[in-house]
Amino acid sequence: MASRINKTMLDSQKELAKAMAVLSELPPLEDSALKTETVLTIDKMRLLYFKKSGRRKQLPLVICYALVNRPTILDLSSTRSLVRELQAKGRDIYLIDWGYPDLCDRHLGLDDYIGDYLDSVIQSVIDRSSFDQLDLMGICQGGVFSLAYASLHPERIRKLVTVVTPVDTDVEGFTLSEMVRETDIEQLVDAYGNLPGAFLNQIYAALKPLQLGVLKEMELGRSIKDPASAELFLRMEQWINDSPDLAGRAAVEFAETFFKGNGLIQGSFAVESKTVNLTAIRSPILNIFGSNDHLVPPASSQALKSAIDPKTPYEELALPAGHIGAFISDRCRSKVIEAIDNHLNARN
Amino acid sequence: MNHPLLDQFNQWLMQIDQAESVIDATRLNEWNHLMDQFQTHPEQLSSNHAQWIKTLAQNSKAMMGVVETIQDQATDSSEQLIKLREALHQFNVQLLMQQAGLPQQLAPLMFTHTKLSSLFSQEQKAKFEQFKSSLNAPQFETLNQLTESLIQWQQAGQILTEEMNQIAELATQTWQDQLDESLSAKDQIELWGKIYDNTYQARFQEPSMQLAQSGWLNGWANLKLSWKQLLNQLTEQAGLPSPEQIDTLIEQLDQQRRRIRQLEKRLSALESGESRNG
Repeated sequence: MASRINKTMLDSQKELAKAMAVLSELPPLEDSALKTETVLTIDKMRLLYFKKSGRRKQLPLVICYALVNRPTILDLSSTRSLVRELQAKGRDIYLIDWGYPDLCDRHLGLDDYIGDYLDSVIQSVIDRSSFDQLDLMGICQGGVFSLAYASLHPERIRKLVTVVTPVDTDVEGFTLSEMVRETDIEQLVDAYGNLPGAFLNQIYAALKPLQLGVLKEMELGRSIKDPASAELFLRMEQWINDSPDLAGRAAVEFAETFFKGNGLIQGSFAVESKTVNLTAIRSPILNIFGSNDHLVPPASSQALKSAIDPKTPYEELALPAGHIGAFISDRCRSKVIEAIDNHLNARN
Repeated sequence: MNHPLLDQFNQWLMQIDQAESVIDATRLNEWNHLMDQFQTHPEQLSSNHAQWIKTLAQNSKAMMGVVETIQDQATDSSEQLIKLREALHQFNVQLLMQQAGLPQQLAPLMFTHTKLSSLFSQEQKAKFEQFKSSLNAPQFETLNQLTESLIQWQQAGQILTEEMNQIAELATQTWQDQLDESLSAKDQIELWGKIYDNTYQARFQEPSMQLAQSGWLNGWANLKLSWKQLLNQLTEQAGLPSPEQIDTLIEQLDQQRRRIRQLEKRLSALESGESRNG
């Protein structure tokens, strides 16, 4: 064997030995995410409350996460928690945890999620506070829900933040949208009941089959360099594999109206028979996205700017990161917190 | 803490490092034996994260195979390429097999190698058709339908595989054009991954790829539905609750839930109004 193979091999074996040594000393991961008070429960949905510490009077912020994947990513660990860092800025934070739908929830649709659950959450938070309005932040699919809600109830939402949110599904390079285009989601749902989380995970991995599959696996040793990197890696893996199923009817409706019909742009997205019209939004918007997002291309998020009323204040924050890194990574998180805080504090 | 296996591994590394010796067949055997031990008894190293120890050892063996393939100076570049694709493909499939959920069914989404074009040959199809035609009696109708769905799904898989092959061909060509001999083995593999994924994403903008992928997924759903129908028939015959009956029950439960929810909403609207007025 030539010397170059020795060098390559030895380097990778040293990384492997190091990773194994780190894992051998690493205690089990403590399940600390989202340990807080639940202030509202409807069916499987829970509204989590992160109480502010100071006395400053600020509007509460409601965070609406996607139905797919868990909101635990927002409170990954004590040193990496978007939700607790926002709370530390002196405002009450409410986070929607949609729960794990089972077969009994297969008939839950967008009317239930947006028209009932999200609406009840907003009403409940308003009731608990001394304000008539609140601030709303939506992440990914939760951003779509938030846009829909803010356009249907503009009087209730003072400010809006969208994070890695798809808006236009017809933009070039939107692989997920291209995958859905000719797929009969209704038939898949008939076959499964709900779309299984494991199935959805495979679809996401198939967006970049080699880099998210084989190459990631081969590089595992490099991801575990010390206890801190090992803990982060294991927590991320735990989160990736903790995928709830997607309620059958919601899956069909979202695929048909949002993806295939490009519903937010074409004006065909409706909740409880009321058409979602983005020009009805009055809340100033901060739109945050990752420039390297392979799941939601930046152009899809940026389409929001031309879809809303030109008089609605709008600002963007592009971050040099992917879909999750845009709001979780160390290099982006502080920028995101600062931008959100500035946006919510600004007098528009 | 003392970990004899890890100590052995570190000792092995030190010997190689200090002596600057070539990793000959004996050393390689020792290493293989160590990796096997890690895979078989990962809990000796970490009871908390045994699964990851196992995965690391397993991946390292696969990685070694791939590195060896492209570093083998004895073969020419086209041969190296074929070997690389084969090794990566094998690893990819192996990975899929280990994943929970639906690995085998979704494997064609990740196929990276042309060998699978022989997955469903005309010969196999003929056997299925023959089997189908032997089930003429009406009681075999659902079974017949299942067989037909299976044939259609396999054919859709064939079409998707052909698309995947085109991606692999194009990616390979680009890789060859961009390959810098001075790159390390890892960098070469990384480059291949990046090129492959970019080619794959670009291909998804073509209607043929969208149709191939969706056709395969639709075929899979159809197969599952046919299976469900057969199950309906069998459970009904056995006097057991069928999937269809369970679906109806779930629908009824959902209607009840909606009624209760309406009442809850009315109640909470009343409470909310009262507290605002009061």
